[in-house]
Amino acid sequence: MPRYLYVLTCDGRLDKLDTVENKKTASADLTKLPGEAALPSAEGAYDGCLAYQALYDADASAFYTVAPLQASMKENGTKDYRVVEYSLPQVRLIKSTPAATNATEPPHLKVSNSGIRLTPAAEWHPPSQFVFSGFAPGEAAGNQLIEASGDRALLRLFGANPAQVLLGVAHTQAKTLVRLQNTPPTTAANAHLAPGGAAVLIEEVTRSPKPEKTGVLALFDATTSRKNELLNSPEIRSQYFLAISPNGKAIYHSAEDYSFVDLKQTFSNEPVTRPPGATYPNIFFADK
Amino acid sequence: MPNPAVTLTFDPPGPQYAITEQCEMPAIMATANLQNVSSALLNSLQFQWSVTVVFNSANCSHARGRVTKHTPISASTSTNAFAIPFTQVRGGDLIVAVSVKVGDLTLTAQSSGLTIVGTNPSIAALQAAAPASDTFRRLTRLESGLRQFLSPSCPLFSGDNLGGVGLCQLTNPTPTDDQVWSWKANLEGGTALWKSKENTARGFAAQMRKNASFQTLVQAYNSQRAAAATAGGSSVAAPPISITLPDYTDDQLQRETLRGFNGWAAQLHEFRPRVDANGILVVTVAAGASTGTAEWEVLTVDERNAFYDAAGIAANHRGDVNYVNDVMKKDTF
Repeated sequence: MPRYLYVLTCDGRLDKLDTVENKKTASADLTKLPGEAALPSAEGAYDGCLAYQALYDADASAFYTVAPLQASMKENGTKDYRVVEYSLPQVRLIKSTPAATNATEPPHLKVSNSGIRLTPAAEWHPPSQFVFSGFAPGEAAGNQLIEASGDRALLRLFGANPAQVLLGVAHTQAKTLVRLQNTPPTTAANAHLAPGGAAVLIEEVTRSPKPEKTGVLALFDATTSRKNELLNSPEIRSQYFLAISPNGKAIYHSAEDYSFVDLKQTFSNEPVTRPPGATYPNIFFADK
Repeated sequence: MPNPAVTLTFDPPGPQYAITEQCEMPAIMATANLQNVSSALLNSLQFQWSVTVVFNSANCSHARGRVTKHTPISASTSTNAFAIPFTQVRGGDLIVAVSVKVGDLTLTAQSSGLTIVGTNPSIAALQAAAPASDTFRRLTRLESGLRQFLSPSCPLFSGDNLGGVGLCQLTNPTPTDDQVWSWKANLEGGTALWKSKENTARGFAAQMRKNASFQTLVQAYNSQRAAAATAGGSSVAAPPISITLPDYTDDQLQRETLRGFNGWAAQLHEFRPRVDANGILVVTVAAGASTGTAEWEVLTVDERNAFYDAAGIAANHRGDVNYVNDVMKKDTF
């Protein structure tokens, strides 16, 4: 079970969190690594991010990111990009490979056994809606894909009242949709799928005048829709959800500070994916 | 007869010479004065001149060791007067040296204590040179207080110690030596950066329309609309409508350009498509129409900081979250 969560921020900081000890154990500024700097400096004005995506390759004990060559856009409003590979747990630059030139957005990176694959931003169309192919007739057609992991997808379903957030978990293998019942008031941005999709963590929010977290966390079984746990963690009210670890920690953060909430349940190692647009740093779990 | 010698005098005498308000180097005439040299030799002498202007920023705040130099000048004259032919706008320590061979002797002299300093532009000079944009002019006032120089001998370097300098506080890419000493060159650099950011800002609406996150919002809006129609008892399915995200107005474009001038750190722009408290896109649809119009909303300072907190961005990598408002409070000129 991967113990460590690595967090790569848009400004090029790599934090290492120990989900057993519940603390940050290391931090590296990739813009200031000794030797050849692969990431431009975040000092002064910069446009966009200095690192996009963070993909772990366990076999190589390395991770990949897409980094611009320039901190600020060139005069024509574009940047050049490269794929940069770093070793772990000692963070060292392994390789830097050209990825795109004169691009308005960074290319999308995918890492597989056959190597890395880059897709130009304009040609990358991640799904934002779940397609109920092979499901029973009448299942909700209109939905919003919130997160996915393993063979489960957490969905926002739509009803008459938009203020009432309806959530469901689609099981792609079983071709079933489990609608979560009696959920606390929340928003789609405050519902999170556990690794593997076995559970859904819901942050309770007050709705007026704008959504604010109360600190109450409810953990729902994604198969039975039963509420498994109800926790009260006031410290998360001023923090932002980051991830759920396979060993059952809900990890929160604000800027460079982290906190851990024990969900008293373990999960699988399957990564959780999110559609673009969500405000999260790049993350991956690793065993070293 | 006493030993021959040469000394230097200057017109004007110095020791401080000012770059003009129009960014022209001072006119300096150096004269090599020979002493105890036979007048019969004077017509056959050759004077070798060398001139350097070096700025060593040790005494200037926030200069981070910045050094600028005028390309060294070497020249030979048959008379003892030499009008220094500056080719670049530079300040700093001015050293003029002359050598002249008199018979078997080589006589030399070198100046000391001479400096070339800067002159801040007047409002009238700025009005004549700056782009007409009031927003750009406000920006210049915010960045530098309309100063190129903190004091005559020190360019105005940025207080964040990142090497920004001058009227527009040009920082990235590293300002040139011209941009350190010529407010006109600095203004040209700032204007070019402004135009580049304005072009990018102008294209942002089109970019956002194609963005996956906006498409997700459109899809969610139509799903919600269809669900509400069904729940309301409509027997006719509500078809998805086409949603337009408008181009920026002129005022929005100016604000977005300002944000870009300070850096679109973490891809955070000045505006974003407005959503309601339920995360649903706010769309105006005319009765019976099959199209709707989304709208832009400006991010508040609190929203910007919340975004950066959620993205894990260090406090010193966020740019100035209040930059646009601060600029717009300034007077134009």
